[in-house]
Amino acid sequence: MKRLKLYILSAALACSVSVFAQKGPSFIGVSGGISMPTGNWGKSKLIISSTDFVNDPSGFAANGGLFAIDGAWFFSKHFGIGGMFNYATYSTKDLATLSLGYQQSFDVDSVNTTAGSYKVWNILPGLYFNYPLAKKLAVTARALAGITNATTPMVAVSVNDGGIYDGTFIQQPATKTSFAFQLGAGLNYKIIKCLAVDLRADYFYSKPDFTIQNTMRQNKAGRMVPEYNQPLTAVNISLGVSYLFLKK
Amino acid sequence: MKKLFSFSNRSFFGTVSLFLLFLTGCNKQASQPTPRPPGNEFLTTVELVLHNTANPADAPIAIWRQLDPTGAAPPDTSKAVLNLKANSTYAGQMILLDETKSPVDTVSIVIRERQNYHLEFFQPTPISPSNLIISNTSTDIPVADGTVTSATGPYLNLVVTRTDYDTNVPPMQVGLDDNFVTGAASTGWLRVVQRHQPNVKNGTYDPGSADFDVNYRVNIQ
Repeated sequence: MKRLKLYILSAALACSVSVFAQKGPSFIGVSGGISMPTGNWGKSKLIISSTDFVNDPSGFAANGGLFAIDGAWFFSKHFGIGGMFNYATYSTKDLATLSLGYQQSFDVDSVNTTAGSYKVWNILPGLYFNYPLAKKLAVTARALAGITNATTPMVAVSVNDGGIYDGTFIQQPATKTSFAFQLGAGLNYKIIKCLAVDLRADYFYSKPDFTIQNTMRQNKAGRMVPEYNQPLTAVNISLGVSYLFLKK
Repeated sequence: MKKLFSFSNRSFFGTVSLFLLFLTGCNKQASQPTPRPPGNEFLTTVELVLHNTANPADAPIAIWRQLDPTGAAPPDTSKAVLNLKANSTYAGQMILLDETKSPVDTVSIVIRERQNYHLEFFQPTPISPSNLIISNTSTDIPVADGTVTSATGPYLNLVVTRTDYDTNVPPMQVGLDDNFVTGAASTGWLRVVQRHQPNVKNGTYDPGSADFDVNYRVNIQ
């Protein structure tokens, strides 16, 4: 029985090596590029309210840097399975708009707003596609789904009026893990036998429901975001380099 | 082939190193102050409009006025006098105006909108130390902020309480609407201060800064 198991295992390994050797271009690669938030997440809006809090759906996310490691094993000529880990940061844009909103909401001489960045990392397994257009050039595509872990920025607003410092209130960072998916297409150009460059465009979607702590908000006025339940969507443009596993 | 493989390894792992540098290197915070506005809201006139709750015909008005935006000229206090009946209750309203504008701008409408971070204080003097109440619902002004108490009197027999509330949670008093309750005949002064307390209003006097600080002569007969 033991001998039979060893035989089956050996046969399976032989088959997989054979398949691996005959099928599409399995790879591992790294890439970097720009991630451009879309929808409410990438918007900024002047919020002036002297009478109550305003829960603003605008995310004030600026274009960010994106880096990724991914790889795939092709089980057929055109299709493979693989996965990607990527990490992106998005600074908070239009701080002058945020400051002006608080300044006018509280009718004060000056406001100073300090903000950190959104931080997003993803683990996305899924399906890879490769279709050769020429000897060195191929069109690629991928459909990935997995988890995202996103953290919102800390936003600190210090208020000064009449020569008096009136304290600093803070929107604390919040972290949430949720479902995400990414769809993309690109071009793969083999520069040498085992190295290729990739130019890709992807659409990323997730919708974490952040619960955000706001400290030192004593009086109801101005923008305050206790919950952020907007889609985090972005278009990613990336350039990468892939190591191709050589065929025997 | 060996050389070729070595080159691709260097390129590949060089890119990985850059990626790791990115992961550890990007943690900056941006900061943005607002520019100072060209000028604060201007306010020339503080009116106390009262009416006796038992006698509608008894409706005193006291007006403090400063039309000079530089403050160099003395304020017009000729009408900054409250003549009240003894042992009476008056419902009062504070009206704030900017009389440099045409038509006159009623600033107290804006203060009502911004009630969540404004608070009015009314300090009758002379007052005995034992009657000076400092709390988050009192209209009294602490000694450290200028109230002078008198151990001997005679005292101004006037108590002012706020009757309106803002929309904070929990609600806090505002002071644009008030009750003035008089006792026995007496004379003195009523100091009125509007505190602008952006995001720091807690019912007490100290947070924030003063929008105005004015005095009225009070005669209770």
